[in-house]
Amino acid sequence: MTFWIGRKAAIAAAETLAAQRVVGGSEHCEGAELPEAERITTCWAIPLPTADGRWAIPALAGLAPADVDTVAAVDWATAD
Amino acid sequence: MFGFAISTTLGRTAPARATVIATRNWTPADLGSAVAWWDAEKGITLAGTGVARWIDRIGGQTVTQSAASAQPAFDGAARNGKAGLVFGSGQFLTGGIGALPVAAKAHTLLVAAHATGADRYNATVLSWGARGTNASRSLRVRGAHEGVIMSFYSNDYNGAASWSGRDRTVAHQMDDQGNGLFWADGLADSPHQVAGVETGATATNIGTHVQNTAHTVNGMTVQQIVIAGAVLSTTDRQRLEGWASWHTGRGGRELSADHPHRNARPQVAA
Repeated sequence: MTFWIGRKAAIAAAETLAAQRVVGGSEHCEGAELPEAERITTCWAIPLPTADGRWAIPALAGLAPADVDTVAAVDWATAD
Repeated sequence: MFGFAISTTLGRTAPARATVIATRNWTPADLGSAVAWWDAEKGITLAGTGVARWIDRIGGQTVTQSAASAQPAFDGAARNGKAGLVFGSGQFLTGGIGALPVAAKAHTLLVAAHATGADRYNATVLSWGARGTNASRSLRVRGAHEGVIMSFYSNDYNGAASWSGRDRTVAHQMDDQGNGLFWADGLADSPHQVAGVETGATATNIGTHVQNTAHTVNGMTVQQIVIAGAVLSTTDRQRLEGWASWHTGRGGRELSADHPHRNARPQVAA
């Protein structure tokens, strides 16, 4: 799994770009297509802070957003 | 599916007499104390190949994932020809507390799943409650090729059985006195005394922890989850284990030789 990592604004822009690819697609329950108002998918990912103060989201294959780095793993800020 | 049990009484003078008892397959809905049953064969909303929603078959408790990258994948023939939700790193479903047992109330939970062995430290299969010490109940794995944990954040109780590389049915039971016990494929594992349970009533997560959603499983194919708000009798627990084995296509193979449902799916009168 790869991630995009960068400043908060850059990650937010990358998320918006990816969301345009995945939101609005058809959704199905028990074989029936859901009406648009009942679709659940609303975004690509929720940005999370990293241990070094940056932000990251999973990368969407085929896209190359500006001002982010692509990495194989992220050291997240939160832990217990 | 229906079956028939036939009993015959033969007498010297009376004619042969046959009683036909119609039976059907036992399901978790036959447990009076069951409060949730997530079945990978039912109640799934798909966004492409990702699972956006999973609704339980007992109380209609719903868990969802609106972020596409965090949706587990659905495979209609994931293990032994039966459906499963394939959770990768960073993927989980989340919802409300529903009718799950809280405030030190007893529970029995069962998860039928396969793990590839890619799990990380304290990956969480199922978690419900709230954030804070002793405020949640979570079934976790300590790591790849390590045993399972029942965690009452932050009191953890270790089981010996490892999920890695196996189709397993793991059950955990806690009575209202805090006596806890695991079962792995029907075999009792690691009794323990739970110190402190003040489960809050906030959220239910499948695939990660309610305290910290970074603790996702990785490579776990979840097929069945059942939660009851009570300690089950031995008979009912064995029915549940047997049902899980047959319902997930394993046909009793993982159960011990003396398990009552190793060779037969549990039945009840129709």
